[in-house]
Amino acid sequence: MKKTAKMLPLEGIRVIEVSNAWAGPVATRVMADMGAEVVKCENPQRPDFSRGWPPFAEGQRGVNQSGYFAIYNRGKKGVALNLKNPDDLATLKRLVKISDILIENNAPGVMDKLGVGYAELVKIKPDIIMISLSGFGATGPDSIALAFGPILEPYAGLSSFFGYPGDTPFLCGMAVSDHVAATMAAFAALAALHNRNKTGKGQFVDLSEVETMLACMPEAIMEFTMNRRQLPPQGNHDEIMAPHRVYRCQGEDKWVAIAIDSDAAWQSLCKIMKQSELACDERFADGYLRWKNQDALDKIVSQWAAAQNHLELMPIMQKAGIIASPVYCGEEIYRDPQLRKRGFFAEINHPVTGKRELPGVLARLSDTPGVVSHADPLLGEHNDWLKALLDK
Amino acid sequence: MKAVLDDVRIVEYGESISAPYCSKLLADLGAEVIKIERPVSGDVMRRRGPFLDDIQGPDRSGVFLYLNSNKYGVTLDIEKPTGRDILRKLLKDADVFIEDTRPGTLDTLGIGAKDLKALHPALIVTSVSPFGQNGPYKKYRGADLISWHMGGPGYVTPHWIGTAKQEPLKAMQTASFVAGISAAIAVMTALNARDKTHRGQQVDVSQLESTITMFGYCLAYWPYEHRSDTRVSKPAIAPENFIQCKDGWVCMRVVEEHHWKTFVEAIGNPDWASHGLFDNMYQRAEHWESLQPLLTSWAMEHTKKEIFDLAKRVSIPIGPLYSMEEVVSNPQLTERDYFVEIMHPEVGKLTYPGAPYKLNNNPWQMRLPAPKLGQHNVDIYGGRLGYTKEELVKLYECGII
Repeated sequence: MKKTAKMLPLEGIRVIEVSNAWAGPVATRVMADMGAEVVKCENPQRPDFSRGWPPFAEGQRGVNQSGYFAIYNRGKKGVALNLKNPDDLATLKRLVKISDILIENNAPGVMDKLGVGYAELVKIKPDIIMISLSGFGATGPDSIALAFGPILEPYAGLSSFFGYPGDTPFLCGMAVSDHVAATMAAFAALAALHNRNKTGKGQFVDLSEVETMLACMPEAIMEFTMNRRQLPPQGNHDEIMAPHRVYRCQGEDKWVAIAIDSDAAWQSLCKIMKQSELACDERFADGYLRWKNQDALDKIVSQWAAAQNHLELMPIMQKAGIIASPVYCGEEIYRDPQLRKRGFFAEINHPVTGKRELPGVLARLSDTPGVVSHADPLLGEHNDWLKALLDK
Repeated sequence: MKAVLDDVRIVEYGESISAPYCSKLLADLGAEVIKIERPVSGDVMRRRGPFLDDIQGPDRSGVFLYLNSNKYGVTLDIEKPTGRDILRKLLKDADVFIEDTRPGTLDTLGIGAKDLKALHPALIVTSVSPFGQNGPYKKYRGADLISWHMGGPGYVTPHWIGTAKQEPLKAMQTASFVAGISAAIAVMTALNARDKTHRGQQVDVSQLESTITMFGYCLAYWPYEHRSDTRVSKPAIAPENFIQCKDGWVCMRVVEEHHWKTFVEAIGNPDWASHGLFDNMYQRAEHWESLQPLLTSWAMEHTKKEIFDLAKRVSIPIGPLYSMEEVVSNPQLTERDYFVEIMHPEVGKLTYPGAPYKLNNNPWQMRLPAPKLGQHNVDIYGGRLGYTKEELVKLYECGII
């Protein structure tokens, strides 16, 4: 067992995860990174979906080879429990007795049917904190609808103003709602935990992914509740900043993001583009004019950017006071000097896939920092550990 | 009813989205938040639309009003020595300080994390910045556009577009909100640690890093398959697509075989489904050009509601694309009392998004509308810190409050 010199912030807190794929695993991953002992329960007949999803180590498909699974489940213990089997259910209940938090993202009602709903859990552990994460929430006429990420983005109205102006609707590139809801679930669990430290009382938290998305889109909601207007598709545009887009650079699918937020930044950009005549072009002389004439502006910046290297631009522009960065692909993130310097990445050593580097902990705590303690569990890897723990 | 964080006192010196959203999350659960703004100009979000009735003004920005409800508001110029004294006094009674100044700024002013630790060892100093408190980019400037496109999600968005002709897109201000939630997680982690150690600490939240950690799976491709995920790919499995229907669009995620089988039965086993072209998720992706018009001609016969009702009845993942009008009047959200109203002295009663969680023992509450600029100067500086009326007038005249 690796022992860090400093105490882990959530040391001594045990979290049970009864969930699948995205939101539940991401929420408990955050807590594992902060030192909680997370016990992930998987059905051996139907293990976590993401064990079956690419990428796989060197492309070799296998239940213990998915990088998708690894990135969301590193640092956890894994036990195989079929909750429809009475013995396994009894094991879960004994585990609840010595745990602090249970996070689940099954369809509403599933945990009740299995006999481990909140009403049952409080009988076993009166101060248990249970977080139920679902697509639409535990109540209401749509709570029964199947809630996969791609259904929730359009349902929450995000797809009504996401995308290219005048084009058909698109989904975002990853399950946005699942990820955002996962962070929210971790926050709610920790708030309930602090309350338990203070009052000795537990909590049941009913968390809706759709509602989490809505909490993060006030611009569109307030535009409607205040002015009865639908926000049009936004692209990369900003309410007032222009230029505010990504521009194609040299190379295949390489882009630079630029946001000009002041006259000074605009003057700097003209200098970097070596177009001194633009610096005194009346069409772009202040923020309002740049916003109004942004189509013309975009053309000029696009033309210039096309001959540039997207990686080299960032230090040049940032040192001149311009908000700019490359659009990174996955590989480039792993090579970034800032993230390297800050020691952001964590290496895991997995019994099947070996050493892999993954993104690290979400924030730095000076006194009690988090840590990526070990690799993602093999299916059922900690069954014996759990048995020993419960027999203690 | 007692709130879960009613013992926590927070001072916020933040603007725009991330830091204010972090402290709003804590305020909604009962923490006392005193928001500090620069005199005269205030939080930049006060100058961003949408504004009520399209009439601009510092107390009419919908996003500002939302992000800063449940907080008290004071003005303070912390660059002036007297301003810093007042800040130190405010922090003396606080548990958490949340700030988003450029890294190094507070150190220069003598109120950096180290200085504050000496003053108040139990204080949790949470700094939110674009790239973190150290490293070669620490002074670089950020924006939602930057953290989103640099942190991974941009390069893969939109999903499965199949061509690099169109640019990577951002999705509203998601990266900024995620940084705010991440900061709130970090604050709660530090508070839980403090419950045991009775010590405060410095919390360093990088908007770039929080984006990367939250939107992870596309970042597994490099360590596992030595390539990068991209939006420029054709779907390997289908259908996971928008399909046009009679009154708009629905999104189908009918990929898993049991879902597809149920779907085909539910629409009456059309002939085309048994032609052998669409028998599994990979085939359906391969023959998408033929499948899409068939799905569309079925969907064009039905409304969003009819299709969603069918999906609910037979348990398959298909859902409607809602406009904001439909979202705001959605019976699901109404029944759950999601949206909330509160009276504000300038804009009156408006409808705001609520909090996304229901806590059975200690629910969140909308208690206060967003403060007007400096609204609580007299209450906080006078009532709490003991400044006299005459002193407050002088501080105001000198531009310190």
